[in-house]
Amino acid sequence: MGILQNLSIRRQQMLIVLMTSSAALLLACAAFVIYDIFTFRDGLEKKLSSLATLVGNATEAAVEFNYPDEAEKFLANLRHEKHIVRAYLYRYEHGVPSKGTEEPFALYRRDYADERPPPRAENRPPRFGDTYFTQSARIANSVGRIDIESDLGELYDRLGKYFSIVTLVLAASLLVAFVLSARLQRVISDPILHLAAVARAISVDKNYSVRLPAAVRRDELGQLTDGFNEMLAQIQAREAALKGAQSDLELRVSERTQELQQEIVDRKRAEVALQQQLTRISLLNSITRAIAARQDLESIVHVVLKQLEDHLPQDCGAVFLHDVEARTVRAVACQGKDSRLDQNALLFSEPHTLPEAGLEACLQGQVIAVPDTAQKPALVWSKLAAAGLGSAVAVPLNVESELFGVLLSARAGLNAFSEEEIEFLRMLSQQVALAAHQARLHTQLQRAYNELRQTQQTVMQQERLRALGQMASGIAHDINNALSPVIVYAELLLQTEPNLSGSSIKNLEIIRTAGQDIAHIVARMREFYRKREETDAFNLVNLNKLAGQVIDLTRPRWRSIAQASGLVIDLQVDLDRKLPDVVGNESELREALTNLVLNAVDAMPAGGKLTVRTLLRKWPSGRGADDGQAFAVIEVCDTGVGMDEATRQRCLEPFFSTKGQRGTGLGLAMVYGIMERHEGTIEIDSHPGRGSTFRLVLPVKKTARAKGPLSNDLMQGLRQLRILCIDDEPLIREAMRQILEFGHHKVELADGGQSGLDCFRAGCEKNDPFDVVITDLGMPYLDGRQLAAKLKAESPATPVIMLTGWGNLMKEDGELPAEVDGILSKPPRMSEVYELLRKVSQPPRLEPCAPLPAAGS
Amino acid sequence: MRRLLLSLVRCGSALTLLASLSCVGATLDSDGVERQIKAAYLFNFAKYVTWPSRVQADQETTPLRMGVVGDPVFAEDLKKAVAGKKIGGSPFEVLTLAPHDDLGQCHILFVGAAEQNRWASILAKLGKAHVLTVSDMDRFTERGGIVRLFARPHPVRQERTVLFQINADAARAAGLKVSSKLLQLSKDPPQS
Repeated sequence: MGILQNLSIRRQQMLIVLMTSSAALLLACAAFVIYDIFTFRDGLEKKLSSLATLVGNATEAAVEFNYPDEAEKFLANLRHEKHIVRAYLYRYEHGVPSKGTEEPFALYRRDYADERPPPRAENRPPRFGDTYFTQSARIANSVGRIDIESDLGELYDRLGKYFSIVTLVLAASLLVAFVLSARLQRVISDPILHLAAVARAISVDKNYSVRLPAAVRRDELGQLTDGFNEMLAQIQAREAALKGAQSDLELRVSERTQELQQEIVDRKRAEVALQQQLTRISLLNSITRAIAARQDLESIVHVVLKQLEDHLPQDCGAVFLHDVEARTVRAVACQGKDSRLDQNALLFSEPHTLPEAGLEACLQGQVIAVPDTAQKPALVWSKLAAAGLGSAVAVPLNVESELFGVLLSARAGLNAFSEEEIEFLRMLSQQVALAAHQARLHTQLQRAYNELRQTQQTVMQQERLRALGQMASGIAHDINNALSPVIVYAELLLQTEPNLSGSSIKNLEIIRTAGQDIAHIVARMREFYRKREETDAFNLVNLNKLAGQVIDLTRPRWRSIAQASGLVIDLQVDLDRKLPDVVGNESELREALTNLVLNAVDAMPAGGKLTVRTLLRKWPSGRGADDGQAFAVIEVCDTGVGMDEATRQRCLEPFFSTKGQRGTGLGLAMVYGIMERHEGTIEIDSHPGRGSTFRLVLPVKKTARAKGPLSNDLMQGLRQLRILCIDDEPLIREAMRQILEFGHHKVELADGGQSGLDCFRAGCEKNDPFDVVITDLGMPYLDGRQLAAKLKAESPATPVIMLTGWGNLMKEDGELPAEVDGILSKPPRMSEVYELLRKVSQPPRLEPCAPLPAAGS
Repeated sequence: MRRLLLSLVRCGSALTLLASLSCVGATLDSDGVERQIKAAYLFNFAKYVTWPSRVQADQETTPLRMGVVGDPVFAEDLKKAVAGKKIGGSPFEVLTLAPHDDLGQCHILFVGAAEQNRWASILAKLGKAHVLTVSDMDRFTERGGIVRLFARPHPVRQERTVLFQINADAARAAGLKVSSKLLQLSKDPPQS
């Protein structure tokens, strides 16, 4: 198809005609030939078949009478049929073919044929490609069979003939078709070619006035010619219009071009300005970023000056800091690119006031631009002029509208700063001010943070101790209740039993002392973190005596138990006999020392040497606060496992223990608390493997607030009293009765708030009122405080003493509650009981159990 | 056992084949074999000859009668040759006759060479009866007989083959229609 399109229209038409007609002819010829061949083939088959039948019939008798010569004689007649190649005659015995290889009864062969017998007939028409073709027929009465073989030469001869005829016919018809189409195609192609020639001429010459001759034919070609002419006319008209428009357009284009050129010039100018602006903005950006990363003022200033020098550029820059309170300025940095300029000349280390320096306008936040420094007499400008810097700009650095510095930029030339650069410096100054301000804030924040962290640690420490105290106060009450009988009965024995042996008295005293110590420990468990209270009993304490007591108390630990497990702890006591007494709570100090001794024993699991030593330490004069101060020191030294540095630092913390399950971690913490209360210190020397030395250092005070010793005669100055004692704990109730009856007082007991109240009322009614009421604080239903309020309401004059395991807590709240006249701590000590009784019963009872005024009237 | 029986049957059939001209160009090495061939010829003649009396439809019931005069041995051979065979649906019947018997009842009459002298009287007695006369006597056809059988050596194979000569006029005179195929095979005997 593609090839066809490139040919001229004439050739295309002729080719189409020729191809069409030759294709049709070929098809027709092929149909004829094929039909003929098939017909011929069928004919051939039939012919051969009838020939075989004929021969078979003719030779029947010869076969029957076994005369092969006769049969062959007959077969020889086949030579007239030139395509018969072979004819074989077989004789059957009794009407069936003999088995095995067949011997022909008679045969006929053409001269050129070989000796092979013809193949068995397939009883079908011959095919193309076969060389030979066989037909068979039975001889009449089934006495034999005849096979006749023919070659297909006849068929092929016929095909050859057909081929030449078809070729001849094709050639002749093509010739005729060629001649005819060459003539006839002009009817169509001539007008088209003419049209094409005219169109080509028009497109070459651009002459649209040419016209085709008017069409005479009325077919599509005629319409084409008319349309073409019409189109030419239109084109001619449009071309004329186009030419007019074109000249108009050219005029307008030239005008517009001039305008555009003008615009380009403007834009280039603007672009240059914009570029400069951009450069400055990027400089501002880079400076901002650089200073934002810095936290200290000095490096910020240096970065700013360096960037300005490199990129603005400037010849010299400086930063002044303003002291708000002194209203002075001082140069802190100066940087110049030219070593010829005397940079240091600008740095005046001495502060100057703003007017002196010539920077007073900065105070109002104004920018000072000096086009010629030589014209200004002030200090800064004259120094610049002297350094050869002709023009300068000073911008204020303001934070929250307060001036804290001035940024100065200078150049060698006169009037060297443009408006835009001044504006840029002003903008930069805001950024620098902000960064400087942030740096200052950061420093402050850092400081505040550090303080806060220290405070937090302190608070955490206190919080831990407070939690411990709360817990301790909870269990203190129960322990006190349990302990009270021990102390009370020990005391009673000591006081009331005259026949005690010396050792019994000593043992009882030890029991009492230990019990009292337990009571103190319990009390301090929740208090050891607190400052010393005025109410605590501080007496003069002899440390040597104390040390002896502790050694006695702890003897079972360092001797008996140690020996039982085969250890030897060698105790050495080295006491300074001239050691003065110290002011303190004997019980607490004893406990502290006991703790240290027990720790030392625990630190020597394999035995060792334990040393307890007292000595007086006197600081030489001239050491400030400790001038001439003497300290009593008691030292516990062991040769045990010792502590490493980390353990040594933490060993005073509550709940820190190296003893595992055996230790509570409270021992040394309590020692620390005790020493704090006594304004003393603990010194610890320790080396792993070599042992530890704990030293309690207590100040020796000249004036000790010592209470006088308790009166030996407890009952002195006390008349016999009728006392109501209320407690829900039977043991304490009984102990109180014994204590009070020892003083020959009349005691009545009640086991609860309500029964106590009933008892009191009964006394009043029997006109035998109670002189004093001692009641427990914590009781079910009606507690001590409510009871006291009721009693006071009925009989305000009757003193009420509150017995409580929380005694100290109550005191902490402040003064005594209004309804209570005295507080007695559990476990009650005999001396305290009698002292308090004496105190509350001192004012003589004017109207014991006076009728209530409110009730009376 | 069965195989043995089969091979015996085969032997028998081979003999029968030999007897009925199975052998191409049967060698006539003995009178017996030649007789058997002649007997087979007699049977074959019946196929190519049409008797006017046998045109009717009673062929199936009427046997084709063959008579033998003057040669009882040949009669025995002939009986063996046609035993069980049929032609056109009718069986064969072989009669051994004497010259004074009614010879006209036969369809085919073989006259032995021994009756050479009485042939003329036999011929006269037959008259116009539709009988195909066959004999191997000399000059049979010249003396009014229809088919003469004779043997002669094969020109190529040097064997004796049995041939026949047909006297078409005598056949026509007897009212018999002899097939042209048979007539084609008629040979002239050697002149003796």
